[in-house]
Amino acid sequence: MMSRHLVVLNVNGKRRRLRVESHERLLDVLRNRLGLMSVKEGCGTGDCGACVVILNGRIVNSCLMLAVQARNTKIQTLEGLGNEKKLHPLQKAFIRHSAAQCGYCTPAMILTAKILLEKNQKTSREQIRNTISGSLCRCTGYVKIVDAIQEAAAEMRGETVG
Amino acid sequence: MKFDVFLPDSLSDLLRFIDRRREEVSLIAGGTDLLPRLMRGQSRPKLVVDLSNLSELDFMRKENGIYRIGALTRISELADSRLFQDTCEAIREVCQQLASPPIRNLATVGGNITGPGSFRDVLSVLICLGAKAVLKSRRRKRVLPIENLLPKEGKIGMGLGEILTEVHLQAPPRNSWSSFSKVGRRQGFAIPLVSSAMFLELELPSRRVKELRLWFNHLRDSIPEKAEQTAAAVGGELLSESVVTKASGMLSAELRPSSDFKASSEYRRRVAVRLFKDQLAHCAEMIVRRSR
Amino acid sequence: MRQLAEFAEADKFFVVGKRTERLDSLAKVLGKAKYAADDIPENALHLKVLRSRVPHAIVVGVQAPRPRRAVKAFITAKDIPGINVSSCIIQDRPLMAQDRVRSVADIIGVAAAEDSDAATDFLKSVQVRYGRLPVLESPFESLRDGSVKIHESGNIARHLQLRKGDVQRGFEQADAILSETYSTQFQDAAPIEPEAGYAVPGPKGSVTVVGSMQNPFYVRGSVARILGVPEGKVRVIQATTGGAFGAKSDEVAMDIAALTALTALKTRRPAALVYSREESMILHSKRHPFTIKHKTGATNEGKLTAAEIELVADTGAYASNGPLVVVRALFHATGPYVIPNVKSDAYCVYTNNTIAGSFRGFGSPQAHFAAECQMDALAQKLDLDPMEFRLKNILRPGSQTATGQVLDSSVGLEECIMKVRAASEWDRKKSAWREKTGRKRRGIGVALVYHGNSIGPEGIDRSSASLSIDEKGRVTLRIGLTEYGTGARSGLAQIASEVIGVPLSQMVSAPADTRTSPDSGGTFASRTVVMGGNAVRKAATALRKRLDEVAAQVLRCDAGLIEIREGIARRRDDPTRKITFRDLVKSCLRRKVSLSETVDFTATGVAFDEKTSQGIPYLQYTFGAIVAEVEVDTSLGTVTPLKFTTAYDVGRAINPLSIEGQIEGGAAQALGYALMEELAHKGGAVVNPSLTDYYLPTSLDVPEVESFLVECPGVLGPYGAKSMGEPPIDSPAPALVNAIAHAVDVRINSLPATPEKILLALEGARP
Repeated sequence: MMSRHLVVLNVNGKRRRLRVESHERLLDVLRNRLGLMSVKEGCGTGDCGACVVILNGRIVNSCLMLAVQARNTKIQTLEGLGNEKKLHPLQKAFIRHSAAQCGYCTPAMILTAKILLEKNQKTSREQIRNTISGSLCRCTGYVKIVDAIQEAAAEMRGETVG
Repeated sequence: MKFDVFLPDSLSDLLRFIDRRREEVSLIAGGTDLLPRLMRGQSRPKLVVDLSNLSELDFMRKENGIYRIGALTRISELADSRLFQDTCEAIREVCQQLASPPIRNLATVGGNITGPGSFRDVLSVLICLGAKAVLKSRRRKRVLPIENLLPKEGKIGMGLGEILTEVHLQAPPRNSWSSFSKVGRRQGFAIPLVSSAMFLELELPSRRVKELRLWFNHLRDSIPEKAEQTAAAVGGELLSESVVTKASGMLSAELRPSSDFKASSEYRRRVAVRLFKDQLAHCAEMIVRRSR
Repeated sequence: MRQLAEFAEADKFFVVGKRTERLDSLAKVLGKAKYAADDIPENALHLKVLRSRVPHAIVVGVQAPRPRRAVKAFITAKDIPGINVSSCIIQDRPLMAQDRVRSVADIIGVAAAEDSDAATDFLKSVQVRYGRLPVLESPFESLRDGSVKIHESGNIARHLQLRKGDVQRGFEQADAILSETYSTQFQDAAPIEPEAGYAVPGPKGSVTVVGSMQNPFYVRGSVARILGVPEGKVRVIQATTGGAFGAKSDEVAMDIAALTALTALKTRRPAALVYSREESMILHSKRHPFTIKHKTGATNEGKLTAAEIELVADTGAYASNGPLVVVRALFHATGPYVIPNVKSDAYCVYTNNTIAGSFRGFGSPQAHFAAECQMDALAQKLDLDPMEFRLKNILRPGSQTATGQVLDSSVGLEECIMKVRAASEWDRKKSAWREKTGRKRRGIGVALVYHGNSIGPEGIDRSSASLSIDEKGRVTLRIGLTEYGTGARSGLAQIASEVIGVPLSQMVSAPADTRTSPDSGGTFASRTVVMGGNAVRKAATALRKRLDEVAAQVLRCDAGLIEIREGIARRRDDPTRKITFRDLVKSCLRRKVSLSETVDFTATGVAFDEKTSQGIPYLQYTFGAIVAEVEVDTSLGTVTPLKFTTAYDVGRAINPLSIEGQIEGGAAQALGYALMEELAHKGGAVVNPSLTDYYLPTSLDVPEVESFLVECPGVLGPYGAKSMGEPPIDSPAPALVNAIAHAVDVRINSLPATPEKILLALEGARP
């Protein structure tokens, strides 16, 4: 009864039915079952925030959830955002500002910023820093990540950029 | 690390299930406590029960002058709630600063109170505010001061088959204020070196202290401790500079922080006293300001 | 004169010098970049490493049950067919422990199973019997008479000395002498991607290894030796690597490759090893803790007369890159100043702590922390402004360094100082913030840096690059130098794009693969743009010459009149006469003109005396000045950094956007080093191998960074470019500590400068 569960969830707009093992984390299932490798493991203890995904409209650490806990939820990973032909303003801005250096924190940063900008496009640098504070970056010093998010906000407000 | 998971559909379903079990069962709500412990090998459960679907435990409301907070309320919801604005500020303060934004979206009030590896800052504030815990098992319901849920020798005062379902908080009296403050090794999220929860009630216009409650956390492990003597000594006194100075001295003597590689006991002691002074001044000012 | 001519043409550059996008950004923002753990073959076995449980012991015996069911193999030193060595400079470290363990990071064996849980469970049943030996926790314990010898050769892995002039006389000439001791901690590189890799067995004893790494060729050499096979049997491919900073330059990358290769060949199945964060922090090399004693003399006017410096580094149980870290520390120990008399000694000492090795800066951050704090302390003693005191002594064109090297014209240090002094409003804040009332006090501090480029005295500096153009006009760069977030590979592409005349979008950067990329030496010492760039430029120039010749034939003119820009070749004298790059390529192919070029570039001119360290250790230096502003809460000891203002002499900025990224990232790592990071050891064990209580700076901890790029083209790099990978981490730490001193009159001489140290120093207390 209890070592495996059938879980139905929506991932990047698609309805998925998965048989997951009880001990599997959401992180493991997204990566190993659904092949969504943009979701990264950096620590497994909720300290680095590289594993952040959007769940029911909020950012959460996917390493801190069991997969079964995601039943009947709506999840978005970076694979579900934009594509080469049509990039999301955040993706464009990250490229322009070279805000992705090694790129390992990039999925978490973009997803986190996406939620912020959907709610508030007039956000200050301080608010941005607050919002992304749960994900660590060792490469950039955060400056260009904040620059990119501000530029994406401007574009989403309808201002011309670049 | 393999284990089974049980997914109750309702509270009664859950209570029936854990009632049958004589052995300990691990609960998971936000996962912010259990999963890191699993990762570090500090926990090896055979069976885990997932509470996250029990929406009946996810609520915040005010009824008849009593705030009711469901155990599954996420910390971020509590942080954003208008319910406690200007009345139980310490709740907003502790929740807004707890861990990191994505962790706040997962962590629950119940987890902070009863989780074996919890850092208990929300609990610290709730104790300070005089909250009560509602515990339910299949057969009965208990309401007790939330202080009783502090771990003693590693165990929390809950029986097998019992679940914390909600927290009750009496609306604080008019001329009172509460505050939460902490110091860490960095500005970003970190387990605090010291944190402090304060509740202050004043008589106005005299500024005589009707009641002071003072709880410190992370002095030794993450088990909140009451600064009993200091709080008692200040009670009944007029809030003056000399009283504050005397109280600070008492507090410094009363606290027994420990040393670890993160901070020495001396640093913790000094910082705790500073936080106390800051918060006392702040709470007093807010009480006076609001009375106008 | 070469430099001046090129510099004058700066505005004629089309790609070099521009803030172009990186070649790898698109994949990264789409979530498509594949890191090692993303790519593990379906049927791979999962490995788990068994580490020593004690920091120093004879291994009396290892007893393991027979692997069965989900567990397919348990491999120890006995199973190594070749040579059991996995180390960097000194061959003092086995891949797996045989008869002795010297740290808790020593690997005793590795289990391979269908899943990592099964491997972990199996390891629990392995019994190891230890005969404990005394544990040496610091270099001072190791250096005491009668201490146990961690290695046969003794506890000093290396001793170097620098002698210039006569320090005795120099101190006699001084009016003021200051002696201080500084100490720094283990810093963990903490790339957000923990180390990972996998191996796939091939036919006839061959194996392919894929991993998170900096140096595929070093890994290949190491694996081949361990397997006892020719290098041709081992193919190593660098996966997209999520940050490295030196940790992935050293043992871990070689270990993971060797352990997975051994397992793959034994079981005939792919084998993968992914370190947890805890394993990563215990196993990979850290920044060396240093204790540095400075004795400095100066005249009342502020002229430095003598410096006597002793540097002692804790290299842990194995030397790793320690012997070279102390070289760099020794050469930079004085800071960028003219001091006529210098006596310094550097020691690289073994202890039973975990290994210290490569980490961005490589001895320079430690050296600069001490030197720049010492300069400030001496300025205070002489009652001189810290900037003014420095200006009286800095290296300038024609100055002689501590090694007796006479610098050429490429010394932009003074200009850097002027820029940050003005932009930070140094003079105003220095006096205004002196008011010192109130609980929160502001402070402003400065620190300078110089950083010898590339490997200098550490070995022969050689780089190779290969460019080839396909029939579609795409130019592929193949080079053994790796990308791991620095943007350096994109910089190389910019150089090729500039010289050949194709748009950057036509550039392809092939993965670093020992089978197809030329060996360009290691990707460390900030040498990619400087050395790799030269090789790329040379290859591109050769290709361009051939393209020009063919274009000249097609367009019927002299080859000297051909200009290729944005993928179009034109006649300079008649721009309407043109041919597309693609057509030009077709013409080349028809004429059987080779469109492939592989070149070598070797840096020459490094030479110095082994006994006195006098000579030319580096061919060019990057210079910089950093001003830090902080606010200190005197009640809690907490420090809020407010701003960094930086200026670096970068020689020539190949990509200013990338350089800013390095400056900002380096400042953040230095901030962590200065204020909050500390990998603590106790009794040889790592106390905090976890990001829960090893504090990396978050977005709330790092302030805004203003950067100025000064260009004094150097002799070595392409277009005069200088290294900018490491210099940005060297001096923000002392700038912060100097700012704290300005704010609250308290000098913290040991890192990290935690709130506790500051508060207790302020209140004159002992912890």
